[in-house]
Amino acid sequence: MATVELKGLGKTYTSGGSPEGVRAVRDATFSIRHGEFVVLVGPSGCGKSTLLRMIAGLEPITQGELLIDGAVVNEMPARQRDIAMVFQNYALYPHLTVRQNMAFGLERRRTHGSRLAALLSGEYRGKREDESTAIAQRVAKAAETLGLVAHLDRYPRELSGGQRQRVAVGRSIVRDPKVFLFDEPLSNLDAKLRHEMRSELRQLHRTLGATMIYVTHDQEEAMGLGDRIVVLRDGLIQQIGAPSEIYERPANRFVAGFVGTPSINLIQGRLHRGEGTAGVERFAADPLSIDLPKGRFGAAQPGPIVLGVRPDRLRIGSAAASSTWKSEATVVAVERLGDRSDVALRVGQHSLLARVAPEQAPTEGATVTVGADTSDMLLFAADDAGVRLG
Amino acid sequence: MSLRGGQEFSANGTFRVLRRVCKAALGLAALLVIVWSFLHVAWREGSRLLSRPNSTVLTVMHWSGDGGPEEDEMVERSMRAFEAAHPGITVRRINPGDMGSFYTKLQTMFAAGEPPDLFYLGAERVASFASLGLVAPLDAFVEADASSSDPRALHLDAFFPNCVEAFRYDGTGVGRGPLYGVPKDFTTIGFYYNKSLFDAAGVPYPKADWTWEDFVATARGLKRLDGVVGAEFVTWPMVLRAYLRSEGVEARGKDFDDVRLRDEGVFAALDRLRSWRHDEANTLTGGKSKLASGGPLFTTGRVGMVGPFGRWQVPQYRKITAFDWDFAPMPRGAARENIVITVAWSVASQSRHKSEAWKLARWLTSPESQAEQSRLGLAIPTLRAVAESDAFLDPNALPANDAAFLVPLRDPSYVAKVIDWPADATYEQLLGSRLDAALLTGARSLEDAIGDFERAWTQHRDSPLARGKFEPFPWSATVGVMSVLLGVGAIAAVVFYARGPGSRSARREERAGLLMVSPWLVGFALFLAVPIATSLFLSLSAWKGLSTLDQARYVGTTNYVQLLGHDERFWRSLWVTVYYVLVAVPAGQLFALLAALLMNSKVRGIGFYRAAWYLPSVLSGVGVAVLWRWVFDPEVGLMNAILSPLFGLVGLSLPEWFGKDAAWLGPPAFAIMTLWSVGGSMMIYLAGLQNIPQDLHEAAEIDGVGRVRRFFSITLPMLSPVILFNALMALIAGFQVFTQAFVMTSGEPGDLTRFYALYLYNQAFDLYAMGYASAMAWILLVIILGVTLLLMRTSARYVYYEGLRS
Repeated sequence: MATVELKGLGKTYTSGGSPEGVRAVRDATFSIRHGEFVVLVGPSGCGKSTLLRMIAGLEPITQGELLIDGAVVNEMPARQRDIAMVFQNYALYPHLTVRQNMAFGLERRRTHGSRLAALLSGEYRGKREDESTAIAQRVAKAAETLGLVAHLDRYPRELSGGQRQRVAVGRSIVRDPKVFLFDEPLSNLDAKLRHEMRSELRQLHRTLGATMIYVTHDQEEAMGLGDRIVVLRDGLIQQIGAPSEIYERPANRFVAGFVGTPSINLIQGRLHRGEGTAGVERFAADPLSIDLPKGRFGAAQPGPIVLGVRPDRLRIGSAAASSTWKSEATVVAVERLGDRSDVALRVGQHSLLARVAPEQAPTEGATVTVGADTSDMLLFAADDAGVRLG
Repeated sequence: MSLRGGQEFSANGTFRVLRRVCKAALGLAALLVIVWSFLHVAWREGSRLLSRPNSTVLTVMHWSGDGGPEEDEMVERSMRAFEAAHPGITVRRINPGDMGSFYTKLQTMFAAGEPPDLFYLGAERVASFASLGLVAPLDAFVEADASSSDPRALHLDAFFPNCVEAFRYDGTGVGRGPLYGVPKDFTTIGFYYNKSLFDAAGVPYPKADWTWEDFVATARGLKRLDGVVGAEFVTWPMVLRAYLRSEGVEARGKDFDDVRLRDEGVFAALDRLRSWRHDEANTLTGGKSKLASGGPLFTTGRVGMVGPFGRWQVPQYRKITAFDWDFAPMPRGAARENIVITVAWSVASQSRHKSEAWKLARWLTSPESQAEQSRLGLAIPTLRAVAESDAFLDPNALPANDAAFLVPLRDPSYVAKVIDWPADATYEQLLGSRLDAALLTGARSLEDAIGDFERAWTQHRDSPLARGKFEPFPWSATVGVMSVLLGVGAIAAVVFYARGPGSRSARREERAGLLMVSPWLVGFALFLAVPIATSLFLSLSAWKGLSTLDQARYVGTTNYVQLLGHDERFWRSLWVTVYYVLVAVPAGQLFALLAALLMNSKVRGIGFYRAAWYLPSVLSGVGVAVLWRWVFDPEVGLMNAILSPLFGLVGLSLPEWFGKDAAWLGPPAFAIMTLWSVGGSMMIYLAGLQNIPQDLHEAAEIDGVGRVRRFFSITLPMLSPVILFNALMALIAGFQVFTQAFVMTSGEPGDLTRFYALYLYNQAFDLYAMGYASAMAWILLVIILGVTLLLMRTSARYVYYEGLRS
């Protein structure tokens, strides 16, 4: 167990063709507490894997400082950092059995490994045997934890994808490292298995109480696993926070759009102040017009603006009756998913998606009332950064 | 994407038509090239025949000696003139190149039963050709000409009798009996000397009557000059026997079975030669240099005398501009003896146009032809009158003393005879090879070398193959049985095919597939399967490769018994090969792997480095071998130049790779040379290395494993299937090493670098022992098969195929 601190960490690739190089990660600053489960998430190419590999020691750090347990480890080779990593492709040694795979790291670390010395000295032999027993015990314990006992003498190619990933995890936990790193470990598994493994990993984290850093491009996985989530885009950290915070209070339009399924509805419009009913500001995007309570979006200035509302906060038909904002909409399509239905709506030129209970799903082509509470609405700046305004 | 684009285009009618036209045009062009090339050759050969209807076609084969293309043109001109003078005869000339290729080609033509009508035959081969009945006696033609009034008639007494005698053979010895060739040119032997060096050293030029004492005193005088060697004395078996004759002794008694090398006079003469070479520095070159076949060494201007050589060096030496040179006859010892080396035009006994061939032979040895030939410098006319004319004694061209070549024939107190050899060339090969161990390299004492020769020769001579009488090989029965077996096999294959599973469309596909591979299948059957099967039968026979197959004798397993039980040269060649493999395969693989590891790094310009490393592997084997012969030269070679500081430090003398240290350094030298061309293996290793997922290395790095341990616990096991593959390939290639040894050492000195494949080649193409060679080929197959199987069977213990499947 350990803390990990990133201070302005950056990575510049010099072989990128341009003379100043390609900046894969810029100014990453955050710290991870003892036993915390942090997920790095973002679309592909956002720099999350590079960041993880810098922490692992597989990529040289070009800017900033990395501290593990308070000590700067920038120049420390990976093998001395006392971390463990689980790879997307499992990276199991194909020529070794499950048992040998799991014991591999320990075997290389033993202090009494020489067979020759064991032949020559009885004392040495005793110590060597003690070590061997210790290794065997740790492997056995990890195998039990992960349900691999029956497969210990098989080769990786004889195992299923899920089992292989378990071995990869097992290989990490026998080492009892300071930090666990996971590089998209579940992305090669099918959806159902991925779900199972996710809860297993959570459980494992709880049992071990270890510091874990986990990289994924799947925001759902990130939300399900992380104590805290770090959202990255184009090498820059967009937001760091607990899953609920990220979901409820996204730092900007990108985070809002990236997190949550289905995606948040975003409507381009203008903000007018001092018009219409007193005490309100008006968001106008023809033909939509939404009165917003004054003061709720204090940072917002009149002019172009983007309004966001999550599909599950939109209501339809009679359910919309009590909403603070209502409008007529045409039902374009209805997707019935059993426990819920996704309804695609059109108001003027604007498309909206609403997620409703199955019994509330209207028929396609019908005209319905759509509504939402203004307290569920978010406003973002219309510029590229798209910062949330309240 | 591109596929879809193509479909769109082909929907466009114009484009489709255009494409078809292009395809058709390409196909037509290819066809035209093929047809044209066939027609061209047919036309070239046929046009002259057509222009001379109803004429007899004579096939004539010769080689270009040191005369090169000029000699070639001269022969061609001479033959056209002959055609013009004889309207009924058309001459087809074949020149396979040098002497070695000439005899190989001749052998093949004889074995095929289609020998050339007229061809060169060196006097040293008369016995072996005549004893096999390959050449026709010419006495009837000679007699007819003697009484003829035809101005072109040949009169044998106009030739030097020494040359004529060389082509008489009576079944037991040369010099008597029927005549088997018309001598075309000849030479005696002696020393070429560098007059400029003689002047500088203040040593008098050799006199016509000089002795071996004079010779060695002259050499000692010359070596006083800085960096100069007194003389280069070649130790070819023919030359050694000439040297012995000049001392009035012979290496043989009444016949070749009677070895007389231990006779007092013989031994003393040989030992004196050995002593000049090895007991004093720089008098005679120590034979260290493999370039010391003499000729080229002289042109460096650092050797006082070279020889004993014949006339053949003259064209080459006429190009020397740096110093003046001349020729002196071989010194005399107790006797005044020189030798005659001569080549004749011989007529094949199977020729259907013997009298036409005789006319051509007569034409080509006419005074005019001989005069023209001798102007090129390399040939001495066999006609006395021409030899004594200015055509040969040309005062305007070097050497000044042309007459020195004629001294042994002019002077009645001299004896100049051809050196006779037994019909079995093994004698000559063994004599040269075994005595070289003492005379050339000095690795063995003279006593031991003679013992080696006696043992090897006796072993060969007394073998049942040489002595036994055997029944003719039952070819008709063999062919019959094989035909039946093949027929049954074919029927079985058809039946199996007809009854086999598969739908109609699958069948059709299969038929199309078989049809498409059929050119290869037919080629395989005709040019590989049949010869392979034939070699198996041949290995049970004794067959002189010069005669047709029906001459083969059935000997059962005698070839195998003789090889395995009574042929120490076989075991020596096997040891040389195994020694080489034991060094070359591990070293080569290690080297290739290290190179691949280097080439696997990501540095600027890696593509260039990879290409540079790979380059030597695409070079021609012969060229590479010639290059490396220089590298390993003990005197001027790069290898010893590199080693000399190191060896000087330790106080060791530099190795003579293919000289006296050949027993233990010869095969490793070839292995070192192989390291140069590991490019192929390196590429495969490189591909293997790049196939190892980077993940594994990273996982291990994180698991706490350092670079070196990672190599042994990940790279090596992951690479093990590739290593096995490469090692097997190298092993198989190693057992078949031929080119390097053939070019660089010819198996010398004393069989110490005679690799298995080279010995096999010697048996087949120098000694014409095809049955014996076939047996060797099959033994080699069994050895390679055995080693391969052993490796494959045990490989499960150290090869991890899992690495390939991930």
